[in-house]
Amino acid sequence: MRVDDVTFSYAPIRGLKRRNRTNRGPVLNRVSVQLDEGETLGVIGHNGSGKSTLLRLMAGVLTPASGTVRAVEPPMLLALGPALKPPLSLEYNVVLGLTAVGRSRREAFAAVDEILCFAELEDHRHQPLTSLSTGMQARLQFSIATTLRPRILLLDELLSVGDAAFREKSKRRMERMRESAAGVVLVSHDRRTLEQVSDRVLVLRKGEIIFDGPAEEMP
Amino acid sequence: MTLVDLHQRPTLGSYLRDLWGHRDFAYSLAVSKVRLDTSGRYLGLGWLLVSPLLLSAMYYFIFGVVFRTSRAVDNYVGFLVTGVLVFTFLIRAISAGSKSLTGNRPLMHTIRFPRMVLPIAFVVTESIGFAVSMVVALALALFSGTIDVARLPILVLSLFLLLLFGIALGSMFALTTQAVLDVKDGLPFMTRLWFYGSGILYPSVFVEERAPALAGVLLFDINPGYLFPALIRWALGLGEGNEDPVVLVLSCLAWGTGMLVASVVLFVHREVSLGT
Repeated sequence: MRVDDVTFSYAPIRGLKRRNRTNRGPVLNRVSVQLDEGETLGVIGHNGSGKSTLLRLMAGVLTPASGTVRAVEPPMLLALGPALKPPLSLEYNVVLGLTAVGRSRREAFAAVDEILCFAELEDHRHQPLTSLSTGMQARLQFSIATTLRPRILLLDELLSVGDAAFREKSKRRMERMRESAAGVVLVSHDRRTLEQVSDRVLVLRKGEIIFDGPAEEMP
Repeated sequence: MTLVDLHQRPTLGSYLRDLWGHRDFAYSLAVSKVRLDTSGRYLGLGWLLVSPLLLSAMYYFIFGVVFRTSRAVDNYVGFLVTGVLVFTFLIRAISAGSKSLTGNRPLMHTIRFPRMVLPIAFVVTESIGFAVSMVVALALALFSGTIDVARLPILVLSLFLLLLFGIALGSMFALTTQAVLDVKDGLPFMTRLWFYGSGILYPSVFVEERAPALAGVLLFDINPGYLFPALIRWALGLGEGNEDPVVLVLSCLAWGTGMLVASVVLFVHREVSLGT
């Protein structure tokens, strides 16, 4: 995947008085990144440095003001948040999530067992998503995304939640993805996690890349 | 391996293929919305039947009993109920469509799928409620013996065209509201004006008797808010009796397919900029 010279800024909020419409400047300013097959890229930076925006541009759900994002196939983005329908059951949410990326309902229902099993949530199959803790929801989402075996997986702060045992399991699964030549981009503000799993690290500050290189040399 | 630009405007063909590939998603979304809308109520799905009945009863009291509009139509109750049901579907399609993009930002910010799936799914949800409520109109037609088996194919066709038109209308309002949020605040006035102007509560002869010819053209001949209810009334035998079914079928066909094509083209055009 290649990100070439991408600039992005969020639209100003309509209806604000002009003097309150401060020009916040671009969230990302002329950013270029390359991700090779089987490579794991870590992205680190302070809050508001543009990490999540970069991931959303890579996923193709946000459109850059200028520059291009090219990939073999659209990457799959995994972010914590209310992408699913919280009051409905886990089973239903899994089906909704899988059909959203173009799977048929038959395929989706067939995959429910495997997904809930990996997430260790079989007992919650018919319970509403709202009954899960944040950590459990993260486990479910990680399990959904990795079961789909995407060519490129984008993870937004998903490894820092969940307990130690599940983190181990997740790392093993990511290792297997890497062996099958899948690319992974993961965003975190936790240096340790990033150093452990990334081949390369990107440091963002105020929408610009200030470092791109091996994890050991990270400033 | 070739890289594709993720933010390139899709072609009409590729967009339609992508939409078709997400048909199960549209279905799952529609069903989940029905579940959410009916959950936590004592009546649950029953509201789909009760609310149009209450609405019709209310209009019958005001316009049938108080204003005595009923004398111009043989079966005023059937005429009124069918019109109210069909028009309510159109209003609900507009309102559901206009919420479909603005109300689903988290989903749109996470998963890549053709955005037109959202208004389609939301309008399909409304059509499920409409289908349930049409049982009342069918029952009225059966009860008053106006139903004619030969017209049933036309009934099926007209309901299908109504669904296409509803989807197109919802999709267009989805894009409009996304571009200018204020449209949402103006919708109740617009839909009410349309409702009172479309001959739902009174037969078209009321207007044609005393208004200039142009009013008849604007309010009835080219107004889909009159054409669809009129065709479905005719198909159930609950109409005014002055309808020309051939003209009605052709008009509804033109509105349904024309608007649908226009809305797909609009979405193809706007798809990429929805991410800015």
